[in-house]
Amino acid sequence: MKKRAIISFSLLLIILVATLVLAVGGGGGGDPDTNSNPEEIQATTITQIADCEAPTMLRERVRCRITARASTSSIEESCRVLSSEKRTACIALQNRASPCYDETASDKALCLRRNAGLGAGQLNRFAAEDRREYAALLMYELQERIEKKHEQGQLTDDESAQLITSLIEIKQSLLKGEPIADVRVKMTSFKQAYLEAMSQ
Amino acid sequence: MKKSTIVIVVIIILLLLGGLWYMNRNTETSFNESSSGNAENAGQAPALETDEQVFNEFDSAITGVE
Repeated sequence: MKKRAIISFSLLLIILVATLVLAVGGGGGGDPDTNSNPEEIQATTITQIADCEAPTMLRERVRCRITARASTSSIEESCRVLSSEKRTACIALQNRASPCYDETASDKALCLRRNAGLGAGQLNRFAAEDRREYAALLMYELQERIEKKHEQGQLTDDESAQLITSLIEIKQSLLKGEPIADVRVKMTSFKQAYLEAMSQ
Repeated sequence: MKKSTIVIVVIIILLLLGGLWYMNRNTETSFNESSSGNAENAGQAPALETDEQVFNEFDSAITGVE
C-alpha cells in the first residue's frame, strides 16, 4: 500500500514538474519573424506603392507618395538597395520595429534597441551592424515627424519629399555599410535642413 | 506513507518550484541586466521626446562604428 502511494505520488510530481517546465519554456519561444512572412510583407508593400513605382528617381517616388498621401514605404526604399537576403531581413526588422513608434517617448528607444538586438545603457559595447540598424530605425522616427508636419500643412510636398529622400539615403548608407564618416556628412546636412524646416 | 517521506517530497517540490521561478525571472530580466553587464545602466535608454534627443541617440549609435 505504502509503495503504491509513493509511486502514485511520484508520478503526480513528475507530471506537475513537466507541466511547469513546458509552461515556462514555451512562454519565451517564438521567432519574431514567424508571424510576418517577408514575401508577404514585400508583396503588400509593393502593392501599396504600385502607383508611385514608375519614377526612376527616389525623390520623385517619395514625392508621389507624399502627394497621394499614401504610405511613403521608406521601409521598402531603404532596404531595396540591399542584396536579396539582406533585404528580406531588413524589411522584417523594420516591420517588427514598427509598433515601437507608437510607444511613449520614454519607452521608444528601448523598444527600438531591443528590435535591433541592442540592450540598455551605453551603445558602444554592441555590434556595429546592430548599431547601424538601430540608427536606421531612429531615422524613421524623424520621418514620422516630417509626415505629421506635412499633414498639418506646415510643410509643402516638395519640402517633405526632399527631407524624406535625404533621410532614406542616410538609412541606405547605414544599411549598406558605407563608412560612418560619409553617413555623418549626410547627417549634418540633413539635420540642418530638418531643424530649419521643422522650426517653421 | 511515512511522515518523513512526505516532508522530503514537499521539500523537493518546493526546491523545483523555486528553481523554475528563478529561471523564469532570470529570463525576463536578462535583456535589462545581463546584456548590459552594468547594473547602473540596467533598463535605461534615453527618451525620444525632442528632435535633439533623437539626433543625440543617433550620434551615440554610430559613435565608434567605422
